[in-house]
Amino acid sequence: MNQESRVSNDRRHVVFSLKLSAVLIGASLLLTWARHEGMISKDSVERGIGVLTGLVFAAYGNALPKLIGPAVGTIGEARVAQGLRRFSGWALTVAFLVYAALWAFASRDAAHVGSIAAVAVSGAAVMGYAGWKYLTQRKTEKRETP
Amino acid sequence: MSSVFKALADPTRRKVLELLRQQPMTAGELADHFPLSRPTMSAHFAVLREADLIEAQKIGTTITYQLKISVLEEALLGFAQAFGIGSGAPAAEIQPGDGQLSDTAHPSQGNSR
Repeated sequence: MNQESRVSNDRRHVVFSLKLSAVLIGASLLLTWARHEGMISKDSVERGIGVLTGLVFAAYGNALPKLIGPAVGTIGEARVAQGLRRFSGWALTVAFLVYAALWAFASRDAAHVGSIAAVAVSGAAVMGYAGWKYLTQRKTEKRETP
Repeated sequence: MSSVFKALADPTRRKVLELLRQQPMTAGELADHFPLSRPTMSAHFAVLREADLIEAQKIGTTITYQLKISVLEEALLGFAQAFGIGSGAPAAEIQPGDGQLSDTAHPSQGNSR
């Protein structure tokens, strides 16, 4: 990928992130206004923001595997990076879809605890996977180096 | 999105993505898995690049292809593989240069153009 296409790619990712942020902020303001006008309850505002947060971050998790950084040194490093991008993308997308579903359908207490737990578990899974991949790759490189 | 559907509709391109799932590979390593000519494989890679499903990067001294597929696109790929979309159609070979698919009798005829 040449410099020009990399800059254009990076710009696309920034624009995508800004759009997601605008959706989250705009919808939150709309919900707050509706609450102020007495159209919806406080519980509905909280649930609405919870669902929106989950969906926005799930959308970001969906796009995560497409964020390829600068070229790495070896094919082994590229393999680790690719695996990590895919795993973290899936983990975040599923975690935040669970987050959104809990805020949409579960009781308030279950949504509070469950949504944080879902994100924490996915974060721990990604860290664990990254550590395992790194150690496996180091072992492979040591074996291959004469 | 239509370029993604077009890319995933072809079983050869889906197999390329499946191979890249295992690890990044060079064009030569990918082409070795298919009984198609190198220019034909290059045309398939071009369709995948246009759909933003793969990316070519220089790693060491060689150009290597990496998977660049979102979670939703990967789920679509799995769906297309599971239901064999496009695999029942006659073997189609892309003609390099015109980007159009045409039916050929045997993939082994390759590209003598």
